[in-house]
Amino acid sequence: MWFPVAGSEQVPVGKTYAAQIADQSLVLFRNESGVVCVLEDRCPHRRVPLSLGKVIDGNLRCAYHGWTFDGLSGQCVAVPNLAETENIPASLCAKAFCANEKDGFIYVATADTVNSDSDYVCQPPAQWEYEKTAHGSAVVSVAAEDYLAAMLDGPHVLLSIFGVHASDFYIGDVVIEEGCLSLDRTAVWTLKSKPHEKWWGLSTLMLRTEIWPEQSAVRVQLLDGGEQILLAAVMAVVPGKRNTSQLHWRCYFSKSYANGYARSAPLLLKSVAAFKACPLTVFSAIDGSDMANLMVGPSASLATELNEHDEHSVASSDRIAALNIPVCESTLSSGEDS
Amino acid sequence: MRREIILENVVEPVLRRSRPQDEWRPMEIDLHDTWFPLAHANHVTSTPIRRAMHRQTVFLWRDRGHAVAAEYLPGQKNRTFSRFTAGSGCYPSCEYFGYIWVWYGNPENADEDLIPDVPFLPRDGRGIPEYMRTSVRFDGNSLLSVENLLDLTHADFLHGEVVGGEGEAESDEISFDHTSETLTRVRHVVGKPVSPVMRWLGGVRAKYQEFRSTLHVHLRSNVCISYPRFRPGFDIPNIQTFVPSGPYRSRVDQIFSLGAAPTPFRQLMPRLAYVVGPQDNAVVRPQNPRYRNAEGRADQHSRFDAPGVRYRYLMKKLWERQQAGDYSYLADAKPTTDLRQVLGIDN
Repeated sequence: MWFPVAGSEQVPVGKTYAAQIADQSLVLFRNESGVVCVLEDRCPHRRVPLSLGKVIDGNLRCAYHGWTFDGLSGQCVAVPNLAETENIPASLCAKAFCANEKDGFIYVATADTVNSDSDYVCQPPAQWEYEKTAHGSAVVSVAAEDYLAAMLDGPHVLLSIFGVHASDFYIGDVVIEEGCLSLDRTAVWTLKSKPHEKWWGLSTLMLRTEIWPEQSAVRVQLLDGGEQILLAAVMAVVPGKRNTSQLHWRCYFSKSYANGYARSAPLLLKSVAAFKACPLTVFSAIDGSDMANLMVGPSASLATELNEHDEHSVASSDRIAALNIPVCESTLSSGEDS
Repeated sequence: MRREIILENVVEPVLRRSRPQDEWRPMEIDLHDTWFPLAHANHVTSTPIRRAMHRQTVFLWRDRGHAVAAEYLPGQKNRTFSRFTAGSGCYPSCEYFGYIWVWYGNPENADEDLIPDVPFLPRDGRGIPEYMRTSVRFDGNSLLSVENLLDLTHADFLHGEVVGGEGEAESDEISFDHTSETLTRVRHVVGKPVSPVMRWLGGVRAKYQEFRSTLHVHLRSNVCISYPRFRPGFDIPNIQTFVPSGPYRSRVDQIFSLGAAPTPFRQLMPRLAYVVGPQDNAVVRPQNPRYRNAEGRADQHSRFDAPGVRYRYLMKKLWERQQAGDYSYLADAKPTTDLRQVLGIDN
């Protein structure tokens, strides 16, 4: 499985980016060919985060003692001040992970990865044309599982689309297909709504939320009455430390007056929307009381799906346990009495 | 519910049995029966100041000119006190080399002969200019901080624009010697690009210089006596104290002896500790949590780490002895030996 971990913009050429997936710290950077490399964010020499280091000639040099690592293999390629006659043993290496970049997102492979294009979930809807993209990132103090659950129960707590009010009137129930949970709810243009439309869910707009719980990814689509896509956004919700989540999102839309996402909106709203840089706002600060007051609804299906996945994973626990064995890289010179 | 996500390694890690000697948990080591230079002598006045030795709180003040080190603040002696003061509330203390030294351990074993010699400082501490003293915080465990100093190759990268200088030297040799209580590391570099501080403050116009750095570490107290010599250039003798303030932080009260260096180098070099310190903290601080618990993975080493590896070994030996109840100093431990020869000081 390919797990989205960052947006492409987070890793500019020549810079490092410190990422976190659950308890695993990672450093991302680009080598001389521009290929994204992912290493454990821990120098095997003195455990200092490699993300503090510098990218030199496409390799990553630790900030502390200057050990330099190749990004693709993790192999140490330079220890400063070693004489030309001294070789660097192959055992000196950092942990390197498989990575790939697709459609503006950087993915790392999990232990059970089978190479499949369908695994790259952070993509705009297929065969849909859009003019613009916008992107962003944030860290929120909500655990990833809770964030995904809230995305089903009440996305208005987590994000907003300019001019759109999403209701909590669900259209049907969660549909589960190929590991994706999908739910539609009604929505209205804010200036057009009459009380009965706004509160009773009678509307000509629809907000579709799709969640891939295994990859911790979300796609939101704003649809009109004919199910034409007006706007789409995808988001990687990467589980971080201390029950936080790193959000990396990308929004796809058109904003011209005639053919923009707000083409069916009231005149005033449509005019303002044409000047907005991006109609999507992802909240980097989430109101705790709003989260607490969100009643559990469709997210019950998410909990069931995750539990089933966990039970399924028990079958492959032997392999996972094998990968979890603490490893001890060999030393160049221990110098200790044994 | 917290998910476990296991990532695919590019190369399967080489699995091998973790050896006991590879383990290094510096946070657990708490060596007793030693003198800590807890504060600059001139910082201790009639107004109490608070310091720590490992987890022990110490209040320092002067009573009619005499330094007092106690577990209590003046006038608040109405409680029970620890075994570090034998229940009296007052630690054994004395004043040498410009520091107030406080005994950490069984007060009955306190012996002023165990105070390390600092050959380039006056024993009575008189005449040390204020500008040669600095106090900096180290945001790392004291043992990790000493390791930082033992492996000086970090200066080229972390302090490149101040005291180091990125660039390959003609040769770079490391040697070390040790007793059961001390470790002496010598780094000898030939053909090293002149550091910015030497060039701009010290007036050294040569492109390259020879550099010999001797570091004498007292294992129990983390007192580091440093004698770097630059040619062309001059000597920068200094003492760095790394007093453990709990398991995650250490305090360094540093004194330089730069009488032979020119102005303005002499006045400004000690101030650079406030530039270099935060740079060290940037790497030492994130080391703390990673050495807090056993990771089951040994650190990798290059030949420049030989003194550091020996340091770990000696510290673990001392710790094992103390855990078995043996706090004595062995016959090879002579902390009061004249260090001039060891440090390479010209007669």
